[in-house]
Amino acid sequence: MKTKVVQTQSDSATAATTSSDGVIRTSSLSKRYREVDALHGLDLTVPRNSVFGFLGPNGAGKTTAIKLLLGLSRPTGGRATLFGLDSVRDSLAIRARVGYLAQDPRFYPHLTAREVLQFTARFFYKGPAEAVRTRIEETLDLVGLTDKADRPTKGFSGGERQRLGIAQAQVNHPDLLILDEPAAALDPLGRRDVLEVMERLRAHTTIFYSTHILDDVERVSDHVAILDHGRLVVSAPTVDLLGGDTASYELTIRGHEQAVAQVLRAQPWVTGVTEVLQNGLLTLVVSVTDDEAAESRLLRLALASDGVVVTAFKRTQSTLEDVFLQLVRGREQ
Amino acid sequence: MTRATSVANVEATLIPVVPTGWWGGLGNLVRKELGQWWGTRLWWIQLLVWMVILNGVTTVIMLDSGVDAAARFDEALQTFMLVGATAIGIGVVLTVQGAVVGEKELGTAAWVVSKPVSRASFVLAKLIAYTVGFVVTALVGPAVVFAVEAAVLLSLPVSYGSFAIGLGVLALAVFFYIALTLALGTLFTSRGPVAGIGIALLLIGLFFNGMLPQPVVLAMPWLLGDIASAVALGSTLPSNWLVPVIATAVASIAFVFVAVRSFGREEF
Repeated sequence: MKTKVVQTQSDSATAATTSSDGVIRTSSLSKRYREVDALHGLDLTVPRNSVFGFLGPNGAGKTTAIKLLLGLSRPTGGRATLFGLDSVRDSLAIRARVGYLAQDPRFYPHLTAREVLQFTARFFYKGPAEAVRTRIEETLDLVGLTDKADRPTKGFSGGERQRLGIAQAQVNHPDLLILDEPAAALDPLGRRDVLEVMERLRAHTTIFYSTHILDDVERVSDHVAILDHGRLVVSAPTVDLLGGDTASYELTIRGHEQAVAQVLRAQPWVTGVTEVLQNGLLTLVVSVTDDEAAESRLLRLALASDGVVVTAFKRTQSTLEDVFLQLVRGREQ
Repeated sequence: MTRATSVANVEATLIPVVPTGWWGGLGNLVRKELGQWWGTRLWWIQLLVWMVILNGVTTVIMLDSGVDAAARFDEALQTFMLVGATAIGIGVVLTVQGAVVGEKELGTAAWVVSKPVSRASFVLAKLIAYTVGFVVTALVGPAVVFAVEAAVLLSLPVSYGSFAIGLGVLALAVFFYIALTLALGTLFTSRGPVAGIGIALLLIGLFFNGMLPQPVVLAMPWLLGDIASAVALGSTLPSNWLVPVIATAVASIAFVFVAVRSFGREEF
């Protein structure tokens, strides 16, 4: 997996028409199967050149939403636009600018990996043959399948199929890459490789991918949306979601703990102080709204109290898992 | 010049396809479908099967020394057309039954239609490739063998014009069963009903057409073997011979329409 991805002139030309305020925009997008609301009133904006993690437990409606975007199924309510084009009316034009990896990618078993890419590339390029061949070689190299390029795909492992899936999704250097659970079926090494490929592609394309693997989202996504039971729970930049209102500081102290807690609670930028007793030491977990104030004054305030010894002080970052569980469990309750 | 720059220069020449209309992606799909016929062993297996079935029977008839050559020729030609009309129909149903359903089950249909390709192209590519495949392997191939055998074994040349028209009538039957099976494939999610309905239709025509009202019999492709045989032999055509020909053509077009419409509404 070495080759640098090169955006061609023809690819750039199509990108020129991309809507500036969101590659994907959905408005009350809904899908109902008989009595089941698979997706309910989804309002989502995916910014250009973002790596957008679409997160949710199994059955949350992620794949349904992706299929609606691609025109693989029709919405029962609302609408979606990609590049400003309607997902139902302009589906063909949209698919010319999108690369898609299905959750469990399947190919014609008698075709080799190279033939799968040739077949895919012909939907996007008329030629010349040499340039198409170069693109295919580059794509095989990108996903590390060069040495298996001439093997029929019927003998491919799940990981190899996944790599080929990513290769065929990006053989046209799409303006938008939609990946449905790209790393779900992979072992840790395969997952790492897939995330590396995504990180390499992010410079050239918008990546919208669904997953339930929280670590992956935290590692590569700059935007996150959480879906649960077909409804959008939250959609925000990853930094905001992890740091924003939920920043907190841990202060491990010995001495007049209650006095310190009282002083801290009185500060306008402190939203809460939780006391945690661990190994005979009390740790105050201080939630704040103003990082700057906390970093410059929190420790000083604690040390200002007589007879108090601070043995540890650190800023704690919420993990996506914390946020996810908080939001999803909050909804369940 | 670095590798990246040279790659960029080569790729800058890539000519994009502009996908438009109902034929978007058709050429690529036809190429892929024909590749499945001619790029694999499918074509020679089909050719072998049809030569064994059609030319096997007619060779036995031609070698029957108890009858004069002209009578043997007529009987062999009639058998070729009658057996062909039914046997190829069964072969078509059995071969085409998985063309759409199989792709829906495997997930390749969803993969293909996620590309800039129209749903109509997906169906029409299969229609074109299976028609070409069956016409060449089940009709033209055995017909050439038949003509050579007739010339060698009976010293009687085939009347090429009549023979070709007779084969054309059989080709219409082939097209009917391909269109029917593809349409059924878009309507059902498993192979059972797709094959079952096609085979049932053939068997009803074979065993029960005498019990059915004449308008029903005329509206079906069951008489196409008799018509093809009469045309090839230059004998009197059955009365109302045009009705089954037109009805089969119209029904075939209707099945294609149903297949395209139904697959167009398919949700993946």
